[in-house]
Amino acid sequence: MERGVVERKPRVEHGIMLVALLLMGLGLVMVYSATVYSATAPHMLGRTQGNGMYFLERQLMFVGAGLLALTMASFVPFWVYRKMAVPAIILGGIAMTGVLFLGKEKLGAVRWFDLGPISVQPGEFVKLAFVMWVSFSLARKQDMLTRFSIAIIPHLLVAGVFVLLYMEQPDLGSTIILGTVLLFLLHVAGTRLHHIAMVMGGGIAMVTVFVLSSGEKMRRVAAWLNPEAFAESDAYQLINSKISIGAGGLLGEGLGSGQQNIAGYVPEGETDFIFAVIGEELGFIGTFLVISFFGYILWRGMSLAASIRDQFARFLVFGATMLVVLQAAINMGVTTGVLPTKGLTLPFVSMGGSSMVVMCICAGILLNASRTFPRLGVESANDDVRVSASEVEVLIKETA
Amino acid sequence: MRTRRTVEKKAPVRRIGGYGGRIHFVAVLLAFFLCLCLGKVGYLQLVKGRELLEEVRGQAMDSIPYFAKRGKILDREGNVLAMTVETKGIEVYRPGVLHPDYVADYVAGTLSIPRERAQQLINCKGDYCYVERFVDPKIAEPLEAILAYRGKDAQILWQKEMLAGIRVVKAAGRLYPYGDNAGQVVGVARVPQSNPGDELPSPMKLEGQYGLEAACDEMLAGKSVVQKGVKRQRQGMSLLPGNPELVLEGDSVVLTLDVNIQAIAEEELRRTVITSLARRGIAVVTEVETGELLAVAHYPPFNPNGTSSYSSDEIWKWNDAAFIDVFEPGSILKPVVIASALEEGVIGMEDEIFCENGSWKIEKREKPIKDHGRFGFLNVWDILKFSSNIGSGKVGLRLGQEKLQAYLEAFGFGERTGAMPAGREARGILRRGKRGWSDMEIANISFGQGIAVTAIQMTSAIATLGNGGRRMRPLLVKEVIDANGETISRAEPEVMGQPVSARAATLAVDGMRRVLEAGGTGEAGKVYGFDAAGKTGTAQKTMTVEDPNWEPGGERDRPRRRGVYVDKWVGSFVGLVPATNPRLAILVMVDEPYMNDFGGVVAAPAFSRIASRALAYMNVNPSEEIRHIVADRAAEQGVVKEAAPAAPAPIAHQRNNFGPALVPDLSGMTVGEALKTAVLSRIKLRASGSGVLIHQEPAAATVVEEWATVRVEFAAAVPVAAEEEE
Repeated sequence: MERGVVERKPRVEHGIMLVALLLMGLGLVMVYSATVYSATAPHMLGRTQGNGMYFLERQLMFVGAGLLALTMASFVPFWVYRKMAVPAIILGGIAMTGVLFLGKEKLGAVRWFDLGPISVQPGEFVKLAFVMWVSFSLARKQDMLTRFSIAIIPHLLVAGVFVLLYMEQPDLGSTIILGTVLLFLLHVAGTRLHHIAMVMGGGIAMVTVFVLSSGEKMRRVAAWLNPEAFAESDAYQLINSKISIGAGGLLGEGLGSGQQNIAGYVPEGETDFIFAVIGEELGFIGTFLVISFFGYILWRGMSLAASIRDQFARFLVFGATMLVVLQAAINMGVTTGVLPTKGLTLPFVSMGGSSMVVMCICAGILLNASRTFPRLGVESANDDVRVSASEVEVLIKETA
Repeated sequence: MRTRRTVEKKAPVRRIGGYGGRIHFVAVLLAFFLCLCLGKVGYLQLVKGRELLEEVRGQAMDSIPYFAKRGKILDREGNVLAMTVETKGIEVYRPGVLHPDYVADYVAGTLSIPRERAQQLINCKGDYCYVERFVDPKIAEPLEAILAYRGKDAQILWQKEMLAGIRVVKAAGRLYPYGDNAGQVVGVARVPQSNPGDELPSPMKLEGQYGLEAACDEMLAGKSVVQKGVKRQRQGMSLLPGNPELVLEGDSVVLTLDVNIQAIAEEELRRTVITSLARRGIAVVTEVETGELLAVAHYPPFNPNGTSSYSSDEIWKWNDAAFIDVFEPGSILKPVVIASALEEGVIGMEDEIFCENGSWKIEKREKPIKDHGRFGFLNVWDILKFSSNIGSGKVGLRLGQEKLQAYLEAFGFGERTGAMPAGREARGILRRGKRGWSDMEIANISFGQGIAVTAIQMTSAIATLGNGGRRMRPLLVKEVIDANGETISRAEPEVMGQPVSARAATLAVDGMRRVLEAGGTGEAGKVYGFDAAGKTGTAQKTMTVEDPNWEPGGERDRPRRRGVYVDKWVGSFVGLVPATNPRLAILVMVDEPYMNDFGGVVAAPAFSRIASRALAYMNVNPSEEIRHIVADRAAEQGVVKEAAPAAPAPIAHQRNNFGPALVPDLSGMTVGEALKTAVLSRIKLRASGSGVLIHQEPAAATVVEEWATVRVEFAAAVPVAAEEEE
């Protein structure tokens, strides 16, 4: 029997909000746990002024900002995103250019605008702006996506500009996120597979050339492939992060008791390697939960994207989900040694304001879309509204 | 229309939302990747978890040995000779240093050392460098406050950051409250010195290095505890919960020494070494009946509190030489030989021995044995009194090699006495050649040359004579007590044997008594107020090292080698006091005196003073006849018929002077009290009246010559109330 397709009322994805809140709560706990010892260490005194709660307090502030962003992002009318797509990307380009000249340097990278007590990382916002713009652009060009010059080239050009800006900072992690999300968006939007393949091939070639040309990146890859040989240098983070995760075992060593963490062997334990601290202190239970949470976001986000008729909304929802989950996956992949090292935060959990706000906006977009748009789904006995497959097709066309 | 056909061709569900399949493809791709991460995490945590945990433990676990607080060393009265205090030290944890130049400046400034030295100190090889172990609290406390600062004052925080890497650590300090009192015997315990580059020892671990501190190291040190913690990358180590508390304390050692008698012995030894311009001296006071050592004094003094102020060529001053250095005793051995001969019956009291008029050649090739006088026939007592080498040598020959050796061994020579625990003693040299001793050697040994003894052995042998021939084990450690004061072990007086009978011993002591008589060599050793016995000794020394002053073509044609007798002497004196039922045996040894070699001149007066002061301190009444002399003199003046029993004298009277005597304040004392005090203060009294002392001349605190006469006037005690009525 052929099953019909139904359009159901919008259903708010409370689960996504819950998971995001849980992750943020976990982040607060873990940031505190990861910094409580090091915050009073002499080398940190310049920043923390001897306050052991310094990082926790800052993270609380970021979480507050994130919650505000999440609320706003989930309650603004959805058309605002459509309207904002073009201004946002232009603003993003300007900010990214500006940061190269006015930004402050930290750990050899120029990524931040220094605004007194806080610093803003435009690169994080640009990811979202780029997704918004690509979604907007793809939705508008729905009929012409089979054409390489229209479906691929403009997006590649804009992406290229941002990739260049990212590489100037440099920020390889964001570059990869940007490229991958673009690739998937193009794919999902329905461009031709061989076009995708060409873009992917070109991208891989470029990354390879870039990696080969940079001694540091080469070492990182070599360290990833053979950590033991680089135990004291490039694989130091990786090895210690793996040791930390493994040491957690099933139940973990308990919050604040991770010996690797206390001892300061987990590098950047409050930001990029917070997953290692989670692994050490909360064990497999903790890591399983965190991965499950992102899996849940992936599942709900993708389902949502697949069931929204509005092309811009579904691309944006897809892109937002990708930003969150892809970044989480890469972060966890790096921490566990599945991927070579690159600097990306764990969404909602890692310390950092800009990342937190952007991820919260992403979650807000998912919530907003789930609240705004009716869902298409396979009919079942309980459905009250019925539409035929052909009607659906027409509806899709119309929204495009 | 084309679209519609497509819709019809494919299943509608898959077309929902258009390209829904592609979304699902991406979703599955990412889900797969998340599963990959999960799988890796699961592998790391569930499969390799234990293994990696071990690795963490290896990487991050650290342990610090904590050392029990080192026990005390106490004298017999419970006075603390050595104790442990917790002090503060400064350490630099090199990986934690953020501003090396500032830290170096700080260290240099704080400790007032050159900057290069500071630079050197903070750049040791390991992670931890000790800069200073004992820091003045005035420095340590503010530094600690800065390092522990948690407030918001920017300047203090800046300082804290600049000083990062410097740490104030606990350190154990060994304190010797009595300073150089028995310094060599107590010895030194300190944090071991380490070679540059070696791992630094814990500042809490004290290691006994000299004297009793080394001999009783194990008991004093107690048990150490290992505390576990997590090694931290930048801040050293943080302790894990559940570590044992550092409450353990090592055992304490109670000595037989008495700080007061020790002080007396040291003071008198110092006086005699200084006035005779000698190299060094040793004085030993032992209780005859029990063998307990009451004082083991050395000069030059050694203060274990200030080990760093001694240069490397002064290290010999640290040694407890009375236990570990041997010397040829010379004539002070004669009483032992005479007693042995009397015991063996090879000589009788009535025997006269021809002393060859002062020069006796036993073997043609050898140099003759010489006396310091041309003696003819001497009986046994006169041999001692005049200290005839020839006479003593002949007595030794009568005994013969085997007997002589056996007796000397029975007196404890050639073996460790066991006074110093852990065998940190010298055995002495009692040569047992394959062919035995030649006659020359026997004769030599009989007057104390060709045999080497420790001061403790010698004192013990003389004490044996005083103790009716029963040899007591010399005791230095009386008791070992734990931290709560409970006795762990107690050393009881132990009879080691009876080398000679009481009769022979008493006869030998009688001979020694004559040494102090007029005309004897030890006249200067007379003890005021007591009848004493003693023997002088003047031993020739041999080269102990190659003569450093020899030059080819110089005054002497060949360098003097080890073992060759040179013109260096040890003047010594052993004595027993009182002569009947002796309480104390005392040895005074003056090494290389410059002014006069003779033991009777350099060592005997010290013996006399140590004996009189020590006996007074021990509340021993002067011998009967002396008391009568005093009483008779008093009676001549028509004052006192008999001295009242003396009250115990306050120790303060004995400690206050050096050289001339200080007139004590006698006012208000009864005749007996005044007499006692006068003896202690080394003055004589010329008294008038009876009752309590109302006037003295010279006045109190006047410095007078030793044994100068002080006129005192006694009157009947008047009640205070009656005086007021007048």
